[in-house]
Amino acid sequence: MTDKTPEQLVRTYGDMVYRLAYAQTRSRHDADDIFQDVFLQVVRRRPQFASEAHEKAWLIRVTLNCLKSHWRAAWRRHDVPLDDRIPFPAPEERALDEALRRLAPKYRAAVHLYYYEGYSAEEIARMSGEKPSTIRTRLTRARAQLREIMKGELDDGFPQSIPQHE
Amino acid sequence: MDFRNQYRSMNERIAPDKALVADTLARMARGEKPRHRPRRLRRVLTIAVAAAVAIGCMTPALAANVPGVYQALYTISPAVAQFLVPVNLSCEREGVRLEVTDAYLQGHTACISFTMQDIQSSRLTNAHTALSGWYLDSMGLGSSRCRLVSYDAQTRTAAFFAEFSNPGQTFDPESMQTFSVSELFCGGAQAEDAPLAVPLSDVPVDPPVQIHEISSGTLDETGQCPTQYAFLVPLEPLWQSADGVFSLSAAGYREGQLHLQLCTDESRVASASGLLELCDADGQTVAAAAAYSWTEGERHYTETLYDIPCNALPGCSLTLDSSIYETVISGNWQVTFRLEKE
Repeated sequence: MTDKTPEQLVRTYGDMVYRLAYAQTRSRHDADDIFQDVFLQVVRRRPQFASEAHEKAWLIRVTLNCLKSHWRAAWRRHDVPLDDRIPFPAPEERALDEALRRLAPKYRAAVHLYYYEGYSAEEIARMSGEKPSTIRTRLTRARAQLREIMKGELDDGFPQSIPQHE
Repeated sequence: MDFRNQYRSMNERIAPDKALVADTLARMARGEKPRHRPRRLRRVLTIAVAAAVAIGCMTPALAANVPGVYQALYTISPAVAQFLVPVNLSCEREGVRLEVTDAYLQGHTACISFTMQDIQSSRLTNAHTALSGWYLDSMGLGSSRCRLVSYDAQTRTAAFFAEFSNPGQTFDPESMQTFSVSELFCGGAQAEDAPLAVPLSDVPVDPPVQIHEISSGTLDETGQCPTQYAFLVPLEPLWQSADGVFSLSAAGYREGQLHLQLCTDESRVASASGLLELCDADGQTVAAAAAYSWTEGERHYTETLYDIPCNALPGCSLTLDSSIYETVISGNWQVTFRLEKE
């Protein structure tokens, strides 16, 4: 059983939660809100974790749920959608950031969990409550969209297809 | 471009800032709940079209002596609080005084620290308060948020902190700025986690529906929202709050999704809003897939859709977070100022 204090949880997983929130929303303000919502839920739920892997997966699952609620609540917020992105000075990074911003939102979280956090499609499916085939399809379509947006500038590190069995 | 390496490199630089972490830890220590949308700190979208500010309406004022405001500001935004410049100008209408106490304008960010004081009568009696139409005229199209910092019962003064951000624009601290607030909501109460004793396992399948024009709804991935939706027909309430403001007007299972319809009746209050929360048998929140609303007179109906299989409904629980304001004061308060050079 893991037994981290709230502060230890924030220190250990804060960056991970924030990066996933920003990957989906591409907005610093929205990522701030989701970051806080996730960790306030930790206090509220007081979950018991069997292992660190379970602990991390639970936090990702809560983050994904908060992201879904965020999109639902978008109509309630009277803020005009804001371009409050994190700046990336290098031209290549700016181009990729712009491409990710134009990527359909439902693909962004899967892309992040697969290419940055290193989860398999099956693991992402378990955390998000989706079918593995759905995740694989999203990753494949995300790759195709990014290639289209970047007009062939993406190459290595981006396989032609997502392995069916991992 | 190597996507994987490039993406990884970019993400290594993404992290929450220290102020956010500190604020989050403080809120966790206080056992606060995640913020919910019933807290209606709204602002009008349209560019403020206001009559010229009557100079006689603005007076230099004593700084609002609300205890703990600066300490609270340092908790919210320490990076900015230390750079706030005193303004101390106020506007008084309808027995309420808006005072801009401090401001910060730098680069793409503007922050306004201000108070709303009920000087006429006992309307602003507690910290349950909200604003509508708060706006800084120089911000253009950007993002903003406003939060209650503190409330002083003795002076009936609520202190707020508003932040404006627009990366496409640079704020000029030497130019005139006009900060305005349209309405102040006060009185009433806020409730969280009120249980709704509704047997969700008995919801009907494919109940009757009727088409309504949508007043608001979930945007899809292209940023579009339908103009009409087939809502469940409201029936005899399955549940109703004691004050009659909120009721569960319909529930049903359609097209593989659970539909729950909340009716908010504003005929007896100035403003009300409610948010349903569905939890599964493990106590985990079930995220809503979408929500759509329509309005009939003073009744607002919001239908929330959940991707949850029918066989998972037994054991699910439903709660309501709600917020009611009994009084709305329309003052269209405005304060025009320019930060003075030190």
